[in-house]
Amino acid sequence: MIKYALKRVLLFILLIPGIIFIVFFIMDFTPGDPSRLILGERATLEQRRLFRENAGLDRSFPVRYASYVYNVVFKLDFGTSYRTRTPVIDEILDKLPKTVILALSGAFFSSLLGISIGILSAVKQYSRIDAVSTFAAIFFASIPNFWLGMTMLLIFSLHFGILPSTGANTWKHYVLPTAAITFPFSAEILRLTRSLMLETVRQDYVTTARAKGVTEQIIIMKHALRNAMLPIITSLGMTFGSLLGGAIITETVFSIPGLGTHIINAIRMKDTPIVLASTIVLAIFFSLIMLAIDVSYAFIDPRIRARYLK
Amino acid sequence: MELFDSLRKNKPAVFGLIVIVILVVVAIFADMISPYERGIRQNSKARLQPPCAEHIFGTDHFGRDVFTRVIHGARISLFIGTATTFISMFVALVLGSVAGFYGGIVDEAIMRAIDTVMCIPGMLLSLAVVAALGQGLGNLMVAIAVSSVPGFTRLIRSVVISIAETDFIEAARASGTSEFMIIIRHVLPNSMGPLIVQSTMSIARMILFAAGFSFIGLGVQPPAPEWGAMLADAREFLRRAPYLMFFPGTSILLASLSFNLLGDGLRDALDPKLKL
Repeated sequence: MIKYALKRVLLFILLIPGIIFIVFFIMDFTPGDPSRLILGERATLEQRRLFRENAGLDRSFPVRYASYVYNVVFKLDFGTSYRTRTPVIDEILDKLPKTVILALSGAFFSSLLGISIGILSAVKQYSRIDAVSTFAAIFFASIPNFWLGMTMLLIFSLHFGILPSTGANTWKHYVLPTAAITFPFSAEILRLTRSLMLETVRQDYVTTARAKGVTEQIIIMKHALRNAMLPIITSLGMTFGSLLGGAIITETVFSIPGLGTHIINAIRMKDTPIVLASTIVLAIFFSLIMLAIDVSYAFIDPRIRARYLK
Repeated sequence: MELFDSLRKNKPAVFGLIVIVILVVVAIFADMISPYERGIRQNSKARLQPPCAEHIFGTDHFGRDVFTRVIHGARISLFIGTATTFISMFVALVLGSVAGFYGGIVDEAIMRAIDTVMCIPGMLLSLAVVAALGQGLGNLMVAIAVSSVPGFTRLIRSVVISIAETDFIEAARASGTSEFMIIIRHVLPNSMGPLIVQSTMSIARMILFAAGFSFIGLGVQPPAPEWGAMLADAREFLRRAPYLMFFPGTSILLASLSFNLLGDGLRDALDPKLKL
């Protein structure tokens, strides 16, 4: 059990340089000279050379990459912003919690809604509940979350004035943004849960249980659900990735000063170190969630537990 | 034609198909319905007019006709949705079929790389690409195509593996057909079903994705009439002109909904065992 968890954690640590490599590699395609962008056209050649040297831009790609990984892993140093000349990690740590709260609460409510209605829909396949919820699911999966957010902002903040429209100071500020990501993503989870659950109810062991005369309720709760839960949890992890993307856009709708708006502003300002570091931090956060899901498996799935008991 | 018959019985899928056909027709004949000029030329006398006889969807903060912008927006969105799906599908076809068919170290190398890329949520990957390449239509398309390559590659690989093990591939090998020809002639045509379903759904996702990017100002640049960019403008005038957000938003919803409905219908039609 602990052996399994340790193995997963080790794999996660090995993954970090890989994640950094991909983002680092993509950002390396940036054309043009950053010193020109940051210092302006009028800077002297000497100033530019100094800037490049300080930012370490005159070294080769492998050297820059290796020293970046070293600094991140051992010193938690993600570089300095081109614009403010301060360590980028300070601002990121300041903004990260807002994005994390939004993403996690969105994940919580959409799983709750998606899984429960998905199961209900599968159990009562072809009933009216099933028809309504599958249509609602495809509708909400097609709705742009930022548009849904704007619509709710218009109704609940501007028209009725019961919830704040922008900012992130109190829990009330999170109600609308959370709802804006919850609806589309619970729809996605509902569709997944329903199809996985339908697949499970058709397994032979469920038929056997029925033949034995086990009540429908016990079949669903004990046989079908427990087995469907594993693939459902796996797909939840992937959905969380797109939910995180949804949170980034939703932050813009409600002007939440989180990591999403931070990245977007940095892209506009061409502040590469901030983009690089924020992307890496969010990707690591996402991998941590996946790690937690994988390890929690070991507790749920007796097959994995058995494999590591010996 | 069996496929068509079974699709015809699926009312939501038929609805999706009809909406898609209408959107395509509108996109093709956009200039005849209303000249592009009307959606681009600024008119300070006609700013923020609510829907009326002359401007049935109203005008925006530059006095541009919203109806014209919405129908020309169909062009951009449909183009991005289909083109990016094709690009990412093509790249994934190459990677996935090579990995799935040859197996061994090639498979191992490609799939480990894909696994690592999948640790970065698609949206973040696309943001990084846009940050590196800059804004604009072409770069946006590269950015969103990149983010869906990993998922497609996995799908294609698993389909190819399931086909590569069948007897008729063995027969083709025995008759001396080259590996490359086996992939092109036998493996790919037989894996079309799931690919068509996923491509259709992918168009819906790409349309949403592209609109999202233009909404945050990193996609299609003004004054191009892109639906997401129009919503970003509408956000500034939410109080004064709430009607501005209605039409572009509904268009995005309709476009992505109809591709999703069609994709769902195709999946049911191609995979009868899911229906039961």
